[in-house]
Amino acid sequence: MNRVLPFILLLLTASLGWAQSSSPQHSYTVTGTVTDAKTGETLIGATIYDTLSHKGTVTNQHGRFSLTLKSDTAVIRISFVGCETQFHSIALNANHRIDAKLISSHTLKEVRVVGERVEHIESSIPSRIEIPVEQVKAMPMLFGETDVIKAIQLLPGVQNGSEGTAGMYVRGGGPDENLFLLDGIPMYNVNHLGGFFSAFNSDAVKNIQLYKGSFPARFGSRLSSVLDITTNNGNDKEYHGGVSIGLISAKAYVEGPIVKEKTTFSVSARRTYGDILLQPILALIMREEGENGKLNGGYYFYDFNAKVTHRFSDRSRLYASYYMGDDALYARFKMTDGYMYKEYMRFKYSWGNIVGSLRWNYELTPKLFMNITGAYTRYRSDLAVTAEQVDRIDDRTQSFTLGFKSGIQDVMTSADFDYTPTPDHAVKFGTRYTFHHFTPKTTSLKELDNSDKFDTVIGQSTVGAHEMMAYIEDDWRINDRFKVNLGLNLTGFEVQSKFYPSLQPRLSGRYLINDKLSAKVGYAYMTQYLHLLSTSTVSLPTDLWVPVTAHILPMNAHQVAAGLFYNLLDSLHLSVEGYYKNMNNLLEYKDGASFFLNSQGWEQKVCMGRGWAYGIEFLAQKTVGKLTGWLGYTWSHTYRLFDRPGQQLNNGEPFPAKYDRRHDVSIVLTYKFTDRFDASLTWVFSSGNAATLALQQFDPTTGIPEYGSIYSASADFVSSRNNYRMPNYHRMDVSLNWHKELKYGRRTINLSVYNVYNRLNPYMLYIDYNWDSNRKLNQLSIFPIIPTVSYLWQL
Amino acid sequence: MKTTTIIPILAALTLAAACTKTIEFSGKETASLPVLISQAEADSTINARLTYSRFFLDNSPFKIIDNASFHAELNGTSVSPNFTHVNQGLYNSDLTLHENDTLTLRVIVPDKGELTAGCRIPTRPQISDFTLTPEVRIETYPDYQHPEIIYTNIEGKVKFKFQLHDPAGQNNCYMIRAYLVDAKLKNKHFLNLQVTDNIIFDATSTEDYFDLDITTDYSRGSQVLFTDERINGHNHTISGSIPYLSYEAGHETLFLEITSLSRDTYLYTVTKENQRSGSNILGFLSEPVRIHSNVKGGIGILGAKASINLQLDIHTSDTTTRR
Repeated sequence: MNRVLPFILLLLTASLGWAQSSSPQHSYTVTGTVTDAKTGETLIGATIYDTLSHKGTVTNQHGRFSLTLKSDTAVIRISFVGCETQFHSIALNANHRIDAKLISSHTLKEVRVVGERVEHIESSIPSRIEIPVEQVKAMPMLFGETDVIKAIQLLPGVQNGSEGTAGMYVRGGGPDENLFLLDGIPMYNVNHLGGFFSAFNSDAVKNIQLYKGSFPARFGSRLSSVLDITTNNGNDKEYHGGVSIGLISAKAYVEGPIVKEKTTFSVSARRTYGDILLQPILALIMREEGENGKLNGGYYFYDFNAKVTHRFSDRSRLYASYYMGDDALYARFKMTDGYMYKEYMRFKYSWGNIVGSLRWNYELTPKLFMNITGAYTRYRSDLAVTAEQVDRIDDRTQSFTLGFKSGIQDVMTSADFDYTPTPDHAVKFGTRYTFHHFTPKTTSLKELDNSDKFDTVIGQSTVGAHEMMAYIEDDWRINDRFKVNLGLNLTGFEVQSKFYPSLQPRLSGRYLINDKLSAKVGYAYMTQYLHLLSTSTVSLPTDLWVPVTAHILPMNAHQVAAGLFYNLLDSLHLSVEGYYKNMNNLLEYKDGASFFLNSQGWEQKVCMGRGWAYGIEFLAQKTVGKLTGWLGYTWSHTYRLFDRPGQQLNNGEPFPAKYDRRHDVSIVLTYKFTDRFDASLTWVFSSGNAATLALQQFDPTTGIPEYGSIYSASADFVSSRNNYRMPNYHRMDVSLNWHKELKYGRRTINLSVYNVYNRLNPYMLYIDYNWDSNRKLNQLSIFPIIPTVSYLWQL
Repeated sequence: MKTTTIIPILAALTLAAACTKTIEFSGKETASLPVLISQAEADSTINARLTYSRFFLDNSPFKIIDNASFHAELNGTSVSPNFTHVNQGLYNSDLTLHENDTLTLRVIVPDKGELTAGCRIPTRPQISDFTLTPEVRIETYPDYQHPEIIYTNIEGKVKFKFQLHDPAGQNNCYMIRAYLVDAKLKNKHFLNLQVTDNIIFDATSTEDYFDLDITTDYSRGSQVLFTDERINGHNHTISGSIPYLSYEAGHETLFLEITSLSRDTYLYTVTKENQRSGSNILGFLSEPVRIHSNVKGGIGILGAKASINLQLDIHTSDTTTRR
C-alpha cells in the first residue's frame, strides 16, 4: 500500500487541480432528474449525453444528473434501458434544467429490455455488476419466494455457503466481509429461516448493484463486497398494489401518492404462515393424547418495508425509510387439571433487524449536490424461556426464566456530496460517523419460589465503538479512451481506548479499445473493524458480531482486478476478469472452538492469520430480447495460512478455505413466449466444499493402564484442515409464469420446481454406523425436489 | 402413541431419510500409518507402543507392530538400547532417562519405513510451601430395607496449596493430577480436581455444554494443564481442591501429582482431550480437532515428563501428609 498511496495522492491532486483549471469560463450547467413517466420513480444510471459536444454523464442514486457544457447549443439525449430515448434541444445561454420523464417499454409494448448497456463498457470500475430486478423476479422460486441474495449468488465470483443458505462468499472472502446496504444503510443479518431466505423483499427493491472489488472510495468497512440495494420511492401519480400467496408465505405491497407528484409512499410486507397452519395439528395431537392442556408453537418470519418521499422543490427532496424484519421460533405449553394444578412453559427465540433512515437531498448549486443522512440500524437475537408451576394444594408457585440476548446497534450520520465541475469529472466526497453498540451476549437467570428468589444477569458485556470515515473520489475522463476512478478513504475506529486509523487508496481505470471493447483494471485496499463469530458449519441466528479489540487487529485486504468487457450485437455483454486478493488478520476458529450461544472469551478461541485468493471469472449476459439471462463461470483458488507464533493452525502450513471451489458454473435463462406466458430456468454447478475429515483412526494408549484408563481406545487423526472434498453440487430449477389481464389488475400464476432432477446435494457429512457396527460415511441433504405454486395479483 | 401423532413424526422421518444417503469415499489418504506412542519419564526406563492406524471406515482392531527395530541418540551420542516387544505392540527397554536428557528415537518399521521423534526430559517442578488439608466428613446411614445394616460414607474434599517456582525462559508446561491407589489392585483411580486461578487460567470450569471453554489452558476434569505463559520466571501460588467420596471407611492414600511436561506432551494431551470433549452433542458445531503429533514418518507422540508426588494418608480418625 505504501507504494500505491503516493501515486494515488498525486493523481488525485492532479485530477482535482485539472478539474478546477479546466472549468470552462463561459459554461452552463444542465441539471435535472430522470424519472419513469408512469410511476414517477427516479431512474438510477440513466445516460445523459450531448450529441454535439459528445459529453455525457449518468444519473446518481437519486436519479439526479449535472452536465456542464461550454457550447452555445446542445442536443441532450436521455436514455435508459427499457425506456424510450428522449432528445432535448436547448440553447445554452444560461443554466438549464431538464426533468425528464421517460416512458417505459412496458407501456410501449416493445421488446422487453432490461439491464444496463452503456455502463458495461463505459464505466471505469471493473468488478461491478448490476442485476435487473425484473430478472430476479422472473427467476425460479423456492417455496414461492424469489430471493435477491440467491440471484446474486448465481453471479461469477460469488458463492453461496451450504445449500439453502443466504451467506455470500465473494472472491475468497468470508460471509462477514460483505457490506449489505439498504438505501445506503448497513444491514447486519440478511437472512430469514437460518439463511434459506434473504431479508430483502423483491417487491420493495428498485435497483441492485454488486461490487466485488475495485471499490469506489465512498464504500468502506468490509473487505470483499458491497451489495447496494435501493428501494422503491413509490408511484407519485396513482395507487398500485399487489398480493402474492405462496406455499408458505404471503406478501403484499401498495404504493401511491399522498400528495400527487409531491409526496409518495411505498409499503410492502411479507409473512410466512406455516406456524398458523401447524396449530390445528398440534391441537389434534394434544386431544388424541388425552392431555388436558394447550400446545402451540412454530416458526415464522416477517418483514416490513416502508418509504415516504417528499419533494419540497425540484432541488430538494426528503426520504424517510424503514425496514423491520423478525424471525421467531416459539412454543407455548399450558397444562392444568382445571382445579388445583397449573403448569405452563413459554419458549421464544427471535432475531431480526430494524433499519430506519431519514435522508435529505439538496441541490446547493447546479454543480453541487448534497445528501444528508441520519440512520439507525439494529440486529438482535433474543432467547427467552419461562416455566411456571402453580400447586394450590401446597400453595406453592415456582417460576424460572432464562434469557440470552445479543446484538449490535448503530447510530450513524453522514454527509455526501456530488460535485460535477466539468463533464469530465464526477467528484464525490463526504464524511460518515457511526457509533456501534455491541452486546455480544447477556444471559439473565431468574428463579422464583415461595421462599427463595434468584435473579441475576451474567455475562453482560456491552462494548461501544466509534467509527469515522471521510472519502473523496473522482471519476475522471482523461480523454475519449481513458477514464479513471481514483479516490482515498480515511477511516478510524476507536474501541476500548484503542484507535485504529486506516488510509485506503482506491484506483481503477478503463481503456476503450473500440466502441464495443474496453479493458479495465482496478486496485482497492480495504479495512474491516467487525467480525462475525459463527459456527463453521451452518448459518444460525446465534452468530455474533464483535468489534476488533486491543488484541484482535482490523482485517485488511489488497485486491487487484483486470478484465476485458465486450458488447456483442448491443445485446450480449461479455466479460472476462481476473483477480488476486491478499487478506490480512483474518480470523479462524481454533480446533474444537464453538460459538454456539457463547461469545465469552472469544479472543482465546480464534487465531489470526492471512489468506489469499485468485481466480478468473467469465460472464455472458443477455439483457435484450425474448431470451434474457446469463452464463457465468468462475475458476478460483482460496487459501488460508495461520503461522503466527501461538496462533498456528494446520501446523502453520497453508490450507484451502472451506469454500475453496475450483469450478463454479451458473446458467440463468428467461424466455418470454408471449405477453401471457414466460418461463425461466437456472442450472448451477460447483466443485465440492472443502471439509475436515479424520481419515485415520489410531490407538492413543501407551499400553500401560494409567494412560489407557481415562480415554477411549481410539482417536481420530486429522492430517490437515479441509483435507477432503465433498461431492460436487449441481441443481436445476424451472419456473413458469401465466399472466392474465383482469378487469381490475393483472394476475400471475407461478409454478416453480426447485431441484428438478432431485439431486441430493451435500449439506454436511457425518459418520454413521451400519447394523453390524461398521462405520459409514453419510451425507445429509436439505432440499430434494420441491414444486411450488404461487398466485400474484397486481393492481 | 396415537395415529395422529405418528403421522407427522413418520412424515418428518421420511423426509429426513430421503435427504440422507451413504456416499462412497472419494479421497486418497486410505493407507495405514505407523503410530508411535511413548511417554518418557525422568528416572525411568522408556517404553513405547507401536501400532498401525486404520482407515476411518474400517472397524477392525488396530494392528500392532511387533517387528520394529529401535535406534536411539541420547544427548547427541548414539546408544544401543535393547527394546523388547512385550505384548500388544508394547516395547520395554533398558534405557533409563534423567532430567534434561535429550533423546532422539529412530524406529524402523519393516515395509513402512522409518519413524523419528525427539524429546527432552524436563526438570521436575520446583515447589515449596505445600499443604494438603483434608476436610473429611463421615456419614452413616441405615439401609432402606434393612435398618440394621449401617453404611458409612467418607465425604468431603482435600484442599491443596503450593508455591511453584517457574524457571525463566524455558517455555514450561505443567500438569496437576490427583489419584487414589487401590490397595488390592494397585490401580490408580484418578479424581476430579478444581483449580481456581485467575492468572494461569481465564476461569476454572465445569462440564457445561453451553459454555465449552476450550482454551489453551485446560482446567477441568481429572487433570489440570497449563503453561507458564503468564507466570514465566515467577513464583506463583496455586491452590485448589479435590472433591472426595469413598464408600468404605478405613485407610486410603491420596496422591497429588505435579508434573513438568515437554511442550509436545502438553499439546498432545490438550488436543486429545479437546477432541474427546468436542465430540459431545454439539460437536458438529465445533471445528474438528487435530491431535498434535511430533512423530515424523507416522503419527503419535514421543513425550517427556518429570513428576513429583505429594501424598496424603486418609484415615477415618487421623490424617497425615508426607512428600
